[in-house]
Amino acid sequence: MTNPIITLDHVAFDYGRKPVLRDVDLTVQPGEIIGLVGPNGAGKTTLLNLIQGILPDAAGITIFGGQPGNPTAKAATGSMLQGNLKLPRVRVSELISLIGAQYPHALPTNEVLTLTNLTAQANQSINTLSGGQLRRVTFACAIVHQPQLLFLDEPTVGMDAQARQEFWALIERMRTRHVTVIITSHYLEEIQHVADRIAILTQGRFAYLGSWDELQDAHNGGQISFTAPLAPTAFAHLPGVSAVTATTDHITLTSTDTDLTVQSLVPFFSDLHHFTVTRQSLETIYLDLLKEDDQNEEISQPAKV
Amino acid sequence: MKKFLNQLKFDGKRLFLRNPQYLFFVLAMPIGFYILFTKVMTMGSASEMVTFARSYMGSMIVYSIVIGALFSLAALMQHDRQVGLVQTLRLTPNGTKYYYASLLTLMGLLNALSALAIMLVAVIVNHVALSVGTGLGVLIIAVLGSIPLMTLGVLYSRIQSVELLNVLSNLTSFPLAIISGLWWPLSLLPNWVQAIGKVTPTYLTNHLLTRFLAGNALPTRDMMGIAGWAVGMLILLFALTAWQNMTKVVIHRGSTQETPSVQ
Repeated sequence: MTNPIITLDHVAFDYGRKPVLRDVDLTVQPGEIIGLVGPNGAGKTTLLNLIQGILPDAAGITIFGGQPGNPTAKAATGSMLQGNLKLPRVRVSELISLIGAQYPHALPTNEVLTLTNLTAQANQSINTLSGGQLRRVTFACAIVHQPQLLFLDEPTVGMDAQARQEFWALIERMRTRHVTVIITSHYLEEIQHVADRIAILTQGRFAYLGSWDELQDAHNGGQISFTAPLAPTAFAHLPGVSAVTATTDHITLTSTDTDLTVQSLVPFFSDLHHFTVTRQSLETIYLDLLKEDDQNEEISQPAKV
Repeated sequence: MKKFLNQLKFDGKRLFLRNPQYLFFVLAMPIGFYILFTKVMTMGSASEMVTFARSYMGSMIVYSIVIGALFSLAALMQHDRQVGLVQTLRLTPNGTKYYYASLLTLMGLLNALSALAIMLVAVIVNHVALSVGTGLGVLIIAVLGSIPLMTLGVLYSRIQSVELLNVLSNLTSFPLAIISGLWWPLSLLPNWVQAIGKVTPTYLTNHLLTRFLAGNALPTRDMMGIAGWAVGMLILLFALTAWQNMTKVVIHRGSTQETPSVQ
Protein backbone atom coordinates (compact mmCIF):
# COMPACT_ATOMS: atom_id res chain seq x y z
CA MET A 1 0.00 0.00 0.00
CA THR A 2 1.32 3.45 -0.87
CA ASN A 3 1.88 6.14 1.73
CA PRO A 4 -1.15 8.29 2.37
CA ILE A 5 -1.01 11.88 1.12
CA ILE A 6 -2.92 13.22 4.13
CA THR A 7 -3.39 11.80 7.60
CA LEU A 8 -5.57 13.39 10.25
CA ASP A 9 -5.19 11.84 13.69
CA HIS A 10 -7.64 13.04 16.35
CA VAL A 11 -7.60 16.60 15.04
CA ALA A 12 -9.37 19.21 17.13
CA PHE A 13 -9.54 22.97 16.70
CA ASP A 14 -11.33 25.90 18.25
CA TYR A 15 -11.57 29.65 17.80
CA GLY A 16 -11.08 30.69 21.39
CA ARG A 17 -14.05 29.28 23.25
CA LYS A 18 -15.85 28.12 20.12
CA PRO A 19 -14.99 24.50 19.26
CA VAL A 20 -15.03 23.93 15.49
CA LEU A 21 -13.45 20.48 15.02
CA ARG A 22 -13.62 17.64 17.54
CA ASP A 23 -11.60 14.47 17.14
CA VAL A 24 -11.43 14.22 13.35
CA ASP A 25 -9.65 11.20 11.79
CA LEU A 26 -9.01 10.78 8.07
CA THR A 27 -6.50 9.08 5.78
CA VAL A 28 -6.38 10.10 2.12
CA GLN A 29 -4.61 7.84 -0.39
CA PRO A 30 -3.01 9.12 -3.62
CA GLY A 31 -5.53 9.45 -6.45
CA GLU A 32 -8.58 9.49 -4.18
CA ILE A 33 -11.37 11.99 -4.65
CA ILE A 34 -12.96 12.93 -1.33
CA GLY A 35 -16.20 14.87 -1.13
CA LEU A 36 -16.37 16.89 2.06
CA VAL A 37 -19.92 17.99 2.83
CA GLY A 38 -21.64 19.55 5.78
CA PRO A 39 -23.90 22.43 6.76
CA ASN A 40 -22.60 26.00 6.99
CA GLY A 41 -20.36 26.41 10.01
CA ALA A 42 -19.65 22.66 10.27
CA GLY A 43 -15.91 23.32 9.99
CA LYS A 44 -15.23 22.34 6.34
CA THR A 45 -13.21 25.44 5.45
CA THR A 46 -11.44 25.36 8.83
CA LEU A 47 -10.42 21.75 8.16
CA LEU A 48 -9.07 22.65 4.70
CA ASN A 49 -7.24 25.65 6.19
CA LEU A 50 -5.61 23.44 8.82
CA ILE A 51 -4.50 20.83 6.28
CA GLN A 52 -2.98 23.54 4.09
CA GLY A 53 -1.20 25.21 7.01
CA ILE A 54 -3.21 28.43 6.74
CA LEU A 55 -4.28 28.09 10.36
CA PRO A 56 -1.66 27.42 13.03
CA ASP A 57 -1.53 24.64 15.64
CA ALA A 58 -2.33 21.84 13.21
CA ALA A 59 -1.48 19.04 15.66
CA GLY A 60 -2.19 15.54 14.35
CA ILE A 61 -2.04 16.47 10.66
CA THR A 62 0.50 15.01 8.24
CA ILE A 63 0.58 16.03 4.59
CA PHE A 64 3.15 14.69 2.10
CA GLY A 65 5.00 13.22 5.07
CA GLY A 66 5.40 16.49 6.95
CA GLN A 67 3.69 19.31 8.78
CA PRO A 68 1.05 21.35 6.94
CA GLY A 69 2.70 24.02 4.81
CA ASN A 70 5.95 22.06 4.35
CA PRO A 71 7.84 22.91 1.11
CA THR A 72 6.96 19.60 -0.62
CA ALA A 73 3.30 20.08 0.18
CA LYS A 74 3.33 23.68 -1.06
CA ALA A 75 4.93 22.70 -4.37
CA ALA A 76 2.57 19.76 -4.95
CA THR A 77 -0.72 21.28 -3.79
CA GLY A 78 -3.20 23.43 -5.68
CA SER A 79 -5.98 25.27 -3.95
CA MET A 80 -9.15 26.73 -5.38
CA LEU A 81 -10.30 29.12 -2.69
CA GLN A 82 -13.93 29.79 -1.95
CA GLY A 83 -13.71 33.39 -3.15
CA ASN A 84 -12.66 34.52 -6.59
CA LEU A 85 -9.43 36.36 -7.43
CA LYS A 86 -11.37 39.37 -8.70
CA LEU A 87 -8.55 41.83 -9.26
CA PRO A 88 -9.24 45.11 -11.03
CA ARG A 89 -6.97 46.19 -13.91
CA VAL A 90 -5.54 42.68 -14.32
CA ARG A 91 -6.04 40.45 -17.37
CA VAL A 92 -6.87 36.76 -17.11
CA SER A 93 -3.63 35.57 -18.73
CA GLU A 94 -1.55 37.89 -16.51
CA LEU A 95 -2.93 36.43 -13.30
CA ILE A 96 -2.49 32.81 -14.42
CA SER A 97 1.03 33.62 -15.58
CA LEU A 98 1.86 35.28 -12.23
CA ILE A 99 0.66 32.28 -10.21
CA GLY A 100 2.44 29.88 -12.58
CA ALA A 101 5.70 31.80 -12.08
CA GLN A 102 5.64 30.85 -8.38
CA TYR A 103 6.19 27.15 -9.20
CA PRO A 104 9.11 25.33 -10.81
CA HIS A 105 7.14 23.18 -13.30
CA ALA A 106 4.13 25.25 -14.32
CA LEU A 107 2.27 24.61 -17.56
CA PRO A 108 2.46 27.33 -20.25
CA THR A 109 -0.31 29.89 -19.68
CA ASN A 110 -1.88 29.21 -23.10
CA GLU A 111 -2.20 25.51 -22.28
CA VAL A 112 -3.97 26.30 -19.00
CA LEU A 113 -6.29 28.74 -20.78
CA THR A 114 -7.22 26.03 -23.31
CA LEU A 115 -7.69 23.42 -20.60
CA THR A 116 -10.08 25.65 -18.65
CA ASN A 117 -11.84 26.98 -21.74
CA LEU A 118 -10.68 30.56 -21.10
CA THR A 119 -8.78 31.26 -24.33
CA ALA A 120 -11.40 33.78 -25.48
CA GLN A 121 -11.08 35.66 -22.18
CA ALA A 122 -7.26 35.64 -22.08
CA ASN A 123 -6.93 39.39 -22.60
CA GLN A 124 -10.11 40.36 -20.80
CA SER A 125 -9.95 42.25 -17.51
CA ILE A 126 -10.78 39.89 -14.63
CA ASN A 127 -13.16 42.47 -13.21
CA THR A 128 -15.46 42.14 -16.23
CA LEU A 129 -15.90 38.34 -16.10
CA SER A 130 -19.11 36.53 -15.16
CA GLY A 131 -19.32 34.51 -11.94
CA GLY A 132 -18.76 31.21 -13.75
CA GLN A 133 -15.77 32.57 -15.69
CA LEU A 134 -14.28 33.93 -12.47
CA ARG A 135 -14.55 30.47 -10.91
CA ARG A 136 -12.73 29.01 -13.91
CA VAL A 137 -9.93 31.59 -13.57
CA THR A 138 -9.55 30.65 -9.90
CA PHE A 139 -9.48 26.97 -10.93
CA ALA A 140 -6.87 27.71 -13.61
CA CYS A 141 -4.67 29.30 -10.93
CA ALA A 142 -5.05 26.15 -8.81
CA ILE A 143 -3.96 23.73 -11.55
CA VAL A 144 -1.36 25.83 -13.41
CA HIS A 145 1.50 23.88 -11.73
CA GLN A 146 -0.01 20.41 -12.28
CA PRO A 147 -0.55 19.65 -8.58
CA GLN A 148 -0.69 16.13 -7.14
CA LEU A 149 -3.18 17.28 -4.53
CA LEU A 150 -6.03 19.65 -5.25
CA PHE A 151 -8.33 21.41 -2.78
CA LEU A 152 -11.57 22.67 -4.28
CA ASP A 153 -13.70 24.82 -1.96
CA GLU A 154 -17.19 25.28 -3.43
CA PRO A 155 -15.79 25.06 -6.97
CA THR A 156 -18.99 25.33 -9.01
CA VAL A 157 -20.71 28.24 -7.24
CA GLY A 158 -21.86 30.73 -9.88
CA MET A 159 -21.40 28.33 -12.81
CA ASP A 160 -24.30 27.54 -15.15
CA ALA A 161 -25.30 23.92 -15.87
CA GLN A 162 -23.03 23.57 -18.91
CA ALA A 163 -20.03 25.11 -17.17
CA ARG A 164 -20.58 22.76 -14.22
CA GLN A 165 -20.69 19.76 -16.52
CA GLU A 166 -17.45 20.87 -18.20
CA PHE A 167 -15.87 21.44 -14.82
CA TRP A 168 -16.65 17.94 -13.56
CA ALA A 169 -15.36 16.51 -16.84
CA LEU A 170 -12.06 18.26 -16.02
CA ILE A 171 -12.05 16.68 -12.57
CA GLU A 172 -12.56 13.28 -14.20
CA ARG A 173 -9.43 14.02 -16.27
CA MET A 174 -7.62 14.78 -13.01
CA ARG A 175 -8.71 11.36 -11.76
CA THR A 176 -7.11 9.65 -14.77
CA ARG A 177 -3.88 11.51 -13.97
CA HIS A 178 -4.06 10.14 -10.42
CA VAL A 179 -4.48 13.58 -8.84
CA THR A 180 -5.85 13.49 -5.29
CA VAL A 181 -8.80 15.85 -4.90
CA ILE A 182 -10.66 17.11 -1.85
CA ILE A 183 -13.88 18.92 -2.71
CA THR A 184 -16.35 20.80 -0.58
CA SER A 185 -19.64 21.64 -2.22
CA HIS A 186 -23.26 22.31 -1.47
CA TYR A 187 -24.24 20.55 -4.72
CA LEU A 188 -24.52 17.08 -3.19
CA GLU A 189 -25.61 15.40 -6.42
CA GLU A 190 -22.33 16.41 -8.04
CA ILE A 191 -20.29 15.15 -5.09
CA GLN A 192 -22.24 11.88 -5.17
CA HIS A 193 -21.17 11.28 -8.78
CA VAL A 194 -17.53 12.32 -8.59
CA ALA A 195 -16.29 11.37 -5.10
CA ASP A 196 -14.74 7.99 -4.26
CA ARG A 197 -15.51 8.65 -0.61
CA ILE A 198 -17.87 11.06 1.07
CA ALA A 199 -17.10 12.69 4.40
CA ILE A 200 -20.10 14.27 6.11
CA LEU A 201 -18.89 16.79 8.64
CA THR A 202 -21.33 18.00 11.23
CA GLN A 203 -20.91 19.46 14.72
CA GLY A 204 -17.14 19.36 14.15
CA ARG A 205 -16.76 15.61 13.45
CA PHE A 206 -17.52 13.11 10.71
CA ALA A 207 -21.08 11.79 10.89
CA TYR A 208 -20.15 9.50 7.97
CA LEU A 209 -16.97 8.61 6.12
CA GLY A 210 -17.07 6.06 3.33
CA SER A 211 -18.20 5.37 -0.21
CA TRP A 212 -21.54 6.39 -1.64
CA ASP A 213 -22.50 2.74 -2.24
CA GLU A 214 -21.86 1.85 1.39
CA LEU A 215 -23.85 4.85 2.52
CA GLN A 216 -26.74 3.93 0.27
CA ASP A 217 -26.63 0.30 1.43
CA ALA A 218 -26.89 1.48 5.00
CA HIS A 219 -29.84 3.68 4.07
CA ASN A 220 -32.08 1.37 2.07
CA GLY A 221 -34.99 3.74 2.03
CA GLY A 222 -36.68 5.27 -0.97
CA GLN A 223 -39.94 5.85 -2.76
CA ILE A 224 -42.06 3.43 -4.81
CA SER A 225 -44.52 4.98 -7.20
CA PHE A 226 -47.20 3.35 -9.40
CA THR A 227 -50.76 3.58 -10.66
CA ALA A 228 -53.28 1.02 -9.44
CA PRO A 229 -57.06 0.52 -9.37
CA LEU A 230 -56.85 -0.09 -5.61
CA ALA A 231 -57.33 2.09 -2.55
CA PRO A 232 -54.09 3.62 -1.19
CA THR A 233 -54.92 2.21 2.24
CA ALA A 234 -54.34 -1.29 0.84
CA PHE A 235 -50.57 -0.55 0.88
CA ALA A 236 -50.27 1.23 4.21
CA HIS A 237 -49.47 -1.86 6.25
CA LEU A 238 -46.91 -3.43 3.94
CA PRO A 239 -43.45 -4.05 5.43
CA GLY A 240 -41.15 -1.00 5.38
CA VAL A 241 -43.86 1.47 4.35
CA SER A 242 -43.72 4.59 6.48
CA ALA A 243 -46.10 6.82 4.50
CA VAL A 244 -48.56 6.60 1.61
CA THR A 245 -49.46 9.57 -0.53
CA ALA A 246 -51.93 9.49 -3.37
CA THR A 247 -52.75 11.84 -6.23
CA THR A 248 -55.47 11.35 -8.83
CA ASP A 249 -53.24 9.11 -10.95
CA HIS A 250 -50.37 7.96 -8.72
CA ILE A 251 -49.79 6.25 -5.41
CA THR A 252 -46.41 6.85 -3.74
CA LEU A 253 -45.09 4.69 -0.92
CA THR A 254 -42.28 6.01 1.20
CA SER A 255 -40.30 3.03 2.46
CA THR A 256 -37.50 2.57 4.95
CA ASP A 257 -36.51 -0.64 3.10
CA THR A 258 -37.39 -0.62 -0.58
CA ASP A 259 -36.25 -4.26 -1.12
CA LEU A 260 -38.66 -5.51 1.52
CA THR A 261 -41.55 -3.38 0.30
CA VAL A 262 -41.06 -4.41 -3.35
CA GLN A 263 -41.12 -8.10 -2.32
CA SER A 264 -44.39 -7.57 -0.48
CA LEU A 265 -45.88 -5.87 -3.56
CA VAL A 266 -45.42 -9.01 -5.73
CA PRO A 267 -49.02 -10.28 -5.18
CA PHE A 268 -50.32 -6.90 -6.45
CA PHE A 269 -48.10 -6.74 -9.58
CA SER A 270 -50.86 -7.62 -12.06
CA ASP A 271 -52.73 -4.48 -10.95
CA LEU A 272 -49.73 -2.14 -10.79
CA HIS A 273 -48.68 0.06 -13.72
CA HIS A 274 -46.00 2.71 -14.36
CA PHE A 275 -43.97 1.18 -11.55
CA THR A 276 -40.81 3.09 -10.42
CA VAL A 277 -38.47 2.73 -7.47
CA THR A 278 -36.36 5.73 -6.44
CA ARG A 279 -33.71 5.12 -3.84
CA GLN A 280 -32.72 7.86 -1.40
CA SER A 281 -30.39 10.48 -2.85
CA LEU A 282 -27.27 11.68 -1.05
CA GLU A 283 -29.19 14.83 -0.21
CA THR A 284 -32.02 13.02 1.61
CA ILE A 285 -29.60 10.68 3.41
CA TYR A 286 -27.46 13.68 4.32
CA LEU A 287 -30.46 15.55 5.72
CA ASP A 288 -31.52 12.47 7.70
CA LEU A 289 -28.00 12.17 9.13
CA LEU A 290 -27.98 15.84 10.12
CA LYS A 291 -31.35 15.40 11.81
CA GLU A 292 -30.10 12.33 13.71
CA ASP A 293 -26.94 14.16 14.69
CA ASP A 294 -28.89 17.16 15.98
CA GLN A 295 -31.09 14.84 18.07
CA ASN A 296 -28.06 13.02 19.50
CA GLU A 297 -26.45 16.35 20.35
CA GLU A 298 -29.58 17.48 22.20
CA ILE A 299 -29.65 14.24 24.20
CA SER A 300 -25.96 14.47 25.09
CA GLN A 301 -26.35 18.06 26.32
CA PRO A 302 -28.64 18.32 29.36
CA ALA A 303 -31.27 21.04 29.10
CA LYS A 304 -30.42 24.31 30.80
CA VAL A 305 -32.69 25.17 33.69
CA MET B 1 15.30 38.03 -9.98
CA LYS B 2 13.01 37.02 -12.84
CA LYS B 3 10.22 36.20 -10.37
CA PHE B 4 10.63 39.59 -8.71
CA LEU B 5 10.55 41.38 -12.07
CA ASN B 6 7.43 39.40 -13.07
CA GLN B 7 5.68 40.54 -9.91
CA LEU B 8 6.92 44.13 -10.39
CA LYS B 9 5.55 44.20 -13.95
CA PHE B 10 2.22 42.78 -12.74
CA ASP B 11 1.93 45.37 -9.95
CA GLY B 12 3.18 48.24 -12.09
CA LYS B 13 0.37 47.72 -14.60
CA ARG B 14 -2.45 47.49 -12.07
CA LEU B 15 -1.23 50.17 -9.65
CA PHE B 16 0.09 52.74 -12.11
CA LEU B 17 -0.21 52.22 -15.87
CA ARG B 18 -3.87 51.16 -15.90
CA ASN B 19 -4.94 53.23 -12.93
CA PRO B 20 -6.16 56.72 -13.90
CA GLN B 21 -7.13 57.41 -10.28
CA TYR B 22 -3.51 57.05 -9.20
CA LEU B 23 -2.35 59.40 -11.96
CA PHE B 24 -4.97 61.96 -10.96
CA PHE B 25 -4.71 61.93 -7.17
CA VAL B 26 -1.00 61.21 -6.72
CA LEU B 27 0.47 63.05 -9.69
CA ALA B 28 -1.96 65.52 -11.24
CA MET B 29 -3.46 66.88 -8.02
CA PRO B 30 -0.19 67.87 -6.26
CA ILE B 31 1.05 69.37 -9.54
CA GLY B 32 -2.26 71.26 -9.86
CA PHE B 33 -1.96 72.57 -6.30
CA TYR B 34 1.64 73.57 -6.96
CA ILE B 35 0.70 75.58 -10.05
CA LEU B 36 -2.35 77.07 -8.31
CA PHE B 37 -0.45 78.35 -5.27
CA THR B 38 2.75 79.44 -7.02
CA LYS B 39 1.45 80.77 -10.32
CA VAL B 40 -2.23 81.67 -10.01
CA MET B 41 -2.76 82.79 -6.39
CA THR B 42 0.47 84.73 -6.00
CA MET B 43 1.20 86.73 -2.84
CA GLY B 44 4.31 88.65 -1.74
CA SER B 45 7.19 90.13 -3.70
CA ALA B 46 8.83 88.51 -6.72
CA SER B 47 11.82 87.36 -4.70
CA GLU B 48 9.54 85.90 -2.00
CA MET B 49 7.61 84.03 -4.69
CA VAL B 50 10.85 82.55 -6.07
CA THR B 51 11.72 81.22 -2.60
CA PHE B 52 8.15 80.01 -2.10
CA ALA B 53 8.11 78.22 -5.49
CA ARG B 54 11.25 76.38 -4.44
CA SER B 55 10.09 75.35 -0.95
CA TYR B 56 6.47 74.58 -1.94
CA MET B 57 7.84 72.04 -4.40
CA GLY B 58 8.99 69.96 -1.38
CA SER B 59 5.56 70.30 0.27
CA MET B 60 3.77 68.95 -2.77
CA ILE B 61 6.25 66.08 -3.11
CA VAL B 62 5.45 65.05 0.48
CA TYR B 63 1.71 65.51 -0.14
CA SER B 64 1.93 63.22 -3.17
CA ILE B 65 3.67 60.57 -1.03
CA VAL B 66 0.92 60.79 1.63
CA ILE B 67 -1.85 60.23 -0.93
CA GLY B 68 0.04 57.38 -2.62
CA ALA B 69 0.66 55.60 0.70
CA LEU B 70 -2.62 56.10 2.55
CA PHE B 71 -4.99 55.80 -0.37
CA SER B 72 -3.46 53.88 -3.31
CA LEU B 73 -1.15 51.44 -1.50
CA ALA B 74 -3.47 50.81 1.46
CA ALA B 75 -6.53 50.20 -0.75
CA LEU B 76 -4.65 47.95 -3.18
CA MET B 77 -3.20 45.79 -0.41
CA GLN B 78 -6.52 45.62 1.42
CA HIS B 79 -8.26 44.43 -1.76
CA ASP B 80 -5.52 41.87 -2.47
CA ARG B 81 -6.05 40.47 1.00
CA GLN B 82 -9.82 40.41 0.72
CA VAL B 83 -10.06 38.65 -2.66
CA GLY B 84 -7.48 36.07 -1.61
CA LEU B 85 -4.45 37.05 -3.71
CA VAL B 86 -2.21 37.29 -0.63
CA GLN B 87 -3.45 33.91 0.59
CA THR B 88 -3.00 32.33 -2.85
CA LEU B 89 0.59 33.56 -2.99
CA ARG B 90 1.22 32.48 0.61
CA LEU B 91 0.29 28.91 -0.37
CA THR B 92 2.92 28.82 -3.15
CA PRO B 93 6.56 27.80 -2.59
CA ASN B 94 7.70 31.43 -2.95
CA GLY B 95 5.22 32.76 -0.42
CA THR B 96 4.62 36.51 -0.35
CA LYS B 97 8.21 37.76 -0.34
CA TYR B 98 8.16 38.89 -3.99
CA TYR B 99 4.73 40.45 -3.54
CA TYR B 100 5.84 42.69 -0.67
CA ALA B 101 9.25 43.41 -2.22
CA SER B 102 7.60 44.39 -5.49
CA LEU B 103 5.06 46.74 -3.87
CA LEU B 104 7.71 48.46 -1.76
CA THR B 105 10.04 48.86 -4.74
CA LEU B 106 7.22 50.06 -6.95
CA MET B 107 6.04 52.62 -4.41
CA GLY B 108 9.64 53.84 -4.03
CA LEU B 109 9.91 54.23 -7.80
CA LEU B 110 6.52 55.93 -8.06
CA ASN B 111 7.38 58.34 -5.23
CA ALA B 112 10.61 59.19 -7.04
CA LEU B 113 8.64 59.65 -10.25
CA SER B 114 6.16 61.99 -8.53
CA ALA B 115 9.02 64.00 -7.07
CA LEU B 116 10.67 64.16 -10.49
CA ALA B 117 7.44 65.30 -12.17
CA ILE B 118 6.86 68.05 -9.57
CA MET B 119 10.47 69.22 -9.91
CA LEU B 120 10.11 69.35 -13.71
CA VAL B 121 6.96 71.46 -13.38
CA ALA B 122 8.78 73.76 -10.94
CA VAL B 123 11.65 74.18 -13.39
CA ILE B 124 9.45 74.67 -16.46
CA VAL B 125 6.60 76.75 -14.98
CA ASN B 126 8.38 78.72 -12.25
CA HIS B 127 11.93 78.61 -13.63
CA VAL B 128 13.23 77.17 -10.35
CA ALA B 129 16.96 76.59 -10.69
CA LEU B 130 17.79 72.97 -9.87
CA SER B 131 21.05 71.17 -10.51
CA VAL B 132 21.11 67.44 -11.26
CA GLY B 133 22.78 66.89 -7.88
CA THR B 134 20.04 68.80 -6.05
CA GLY B 135 17.38 66.88 -7.96
CA LEU B 136 18.96 63.57 -6.99
CA GLY B 137 19.21 64.68 -3.37
CA VAL B 138 15.49 65.56 -3.38
CA LEU B 139 14.67 62.10 -4.79
CA ILE B 140 16.71 60.37 -2.09
CA ILE B 141 15.15 62.42 0.74
CA ALA B 142 11.65 61.87 -0.70
CA VAL B 143 12.11 58.09 -0.94
CA LEU B 144 13.64 57.75 2.54
CA GLY B 145 11.07 60.13 4.05
CA SER B 146 8.29 58.03 2.54
CA ILE B 147 9.19 54.91 4.58
CA PRO B 148 7.09 55.74 7.71
CA LEU B 149 4.14 56.74 5.53
CA MET B 150 4.38 53.59 3.40
CA THR B 151 4.48 51.49 6.57
CA LEU B 152 1.40 53.33 7.83
CA GLY B 153 -0.28 52.52 4.49
CA VAL B 154 0.56 48.80 4.95
CA LEU B 155 -0.75 48.99 8.52
CA TYR B 156 -4.01 50.53 7.31
CA SER B 157 -4.38 47.85 4.64
CA ARG B 158 -4.96 45.31 7.43
CA ILE B 159 -8.29 46.95 8.25
CA GLN B 160 -11.04 44.73 6.90
CA SER B 161 -13.75 47.27 6.15
CA VAL B 162 -13.35 49.22 2.91
CA GLU B 163 -15.47 52.05 4.31
CA LEU B 164 -13.43 52.29 7.51
CA LEU B 165 -10.19 52.38 5.54
CA ASN B 166 -11.55 55.19 3.39
CA VAL B 167 -12.63 57.21 6.43
CA LEU B 168 -9.34 56.61 8.22
CA SER B 169 -7.26 57.53 5.15
CA ASN B 170 -9.18 60.79 4.80
CA LEU B 171 -9.03 61.54 8.51
CA THR B 172 -5.28 61.00 8.53
CA SER B 173 -4.04 62.46 5.28
CA PHE B 174 -5.81 65.82 5.19
CA PRO B 175 -5.33 66.85 8.85
CA LEU B 176 -1.73 65.59 8.57
CA ALA B 177 -1.18 67.77 5.50
CA ILE B 178 -2.57 70.80 7.33
CA ILE B 179 -0.79 70.43 10.69
CA SER B 180 2.55 69.65 9.09
CA GLY B 181 2.40 72.76 6.93
CA LEU B 182 2.11 71.11 3.52
CA TRP B 183 -0.73 73.31 2.29
CA TRP B 184 0.03 76.62 4.00
CA PRO B 185 2.75 77.90 6.36
CA LEU B 186 2.83 76.32 9.80
CA SER B 187 3.19 79.79 11.37
CA LEU B 188 -0.48 80.49 10.55
CA LEU B 189 -1.58 77.76 12.97
CA PRO B 190 -1.90 78.05 16.80
CA ASN B 191 1.27 77.28 18.78
CA TRP B 192 -0.03 74.02 20.23
CA VAL B 193 -0.92 72.76 16.73
CA GLN B 194 2.52 73.78 15.50
CA ALA B 195 4.10 71.79 18.35
CA ILE B 196 2.20 68.66 17.25
CA GLY B 197 2.83 69.36 13.55
CA LYS B 198 6.57 69.59 14.05
CA VAL B 199 6.88 65.98 15.19
CA THR B 200 4.92 64.47 12.30
CA PRO B 201 6.86 62.46 9.70
CA THR B 202 5.42 64.66 6.94
CA TYR B 203 6.76 67.84 8.59
CA LEU B 204 10.15 66.24 9.20
CA THR B 205 10.49 65.16 5.55
CA ASN B 206 9.21 68.48 4.25
CA HIS B 207 11.57 70.35 6.56
CA LEU B 208 14.49 68.26 5.35
CA LEU B 209 13.56 69.00 1.73
CA THR B 210 13.15 72.72 2.41
CA ARG B 211 16.53 72.91 4.15
CA PHE B 212 18.18 70.89 1.41
CA LEU B 213 16.66 73.01 -1.37
CA ALA B 214 17.79 76.18 0.43
CA GLY B 215 21.33 74.80 0.50
CA ASN B 216 21.40 74.44 4.31
CA ALA B 217 22.81 71.55 6.33
CA LEU B 218 20.37 68.71 7.02
CA PRO B 219 19.20 68.70 10.65
CA THR B 220 20.06 65.44 12.46
CA ARG B 221 16.88 65.83 14.52
CA ASP B 222 14.74 65.50 11.37
CA MET B 223 16.59 62.42 10.17
CA MET B 224 16.42 60.78 13.59
CA GLY B 225 12.73 61.66 13.77
CA ILE B 226 11.99 59.98 10.43
CA ALA B 227 14.00 56.92 11.46
CA GLY B 228 12.10 56.82 14.75
CA TRP B 229 8.74 56.96 12.99
CA ALA B 230 9.81 54.23 10.56
CA VAL B 231 10.95 51.93 13.38
CA GLY B 232 7.84 52.67 15.43
CA MET B 233 5.50 51.95 12.51
CA LEU B 234 7.33 48.72 11.69
CA ILE B 235 7.11 47.55 15.31
CA LEU B 236 3.39 48.33 15.28
CA LEU B 237 2.94 46.41 12.02
CA PHE B 238 4.78 43.33 13.30
CA ALA B 239 2.92 43.48 16.61
CA LEU B 240 -0.44 43.61 14.83
CA THR B 241 0.49 40.72 12.54
CA ALA B 242 1.70 38.65 15.49
CA TRP B 243 -1.46 39.42 17.44
CA GLN B 244 -3.67 38.40 14.51
CA ASN B 245 -1.78 35.13 14.13
CA MET B 246 -1.87 34.46 17.85
CA THR B 247 -5.61 34.94 18.11
CA LYS B 248 -6.08 32.67 15.07
CA VAL B 249 -8.29 35.12 13.33
CA VAL B 250 -6.31 35.67 10.13
CA ILE B 251 -8.23 33.14 8.10
CA HIS B 252 -9.73 35.37 5.48
CA ARG B 253 -9.00 33.81 2.16
CA GLY B 254 -11.55 35.45 -0.06
CA SER B 255 -14.16 33.69 2.01
CA THR B 256 -16.99 35.25 3.92
CA GLN B 257 -18.12 32.02 5.46
CA GLU B 258 -15.74 31.92 8.38
CA THR B 259 -16.61 35.03 10.31
CA PRO B 260 -13.98 35.54 13.02
CA SER B 261 -11.66 37.69 10.94
CA VAL B 262 -10.36 41.10 11.87
CA GLN B 263 -7.53 41.67 9.46
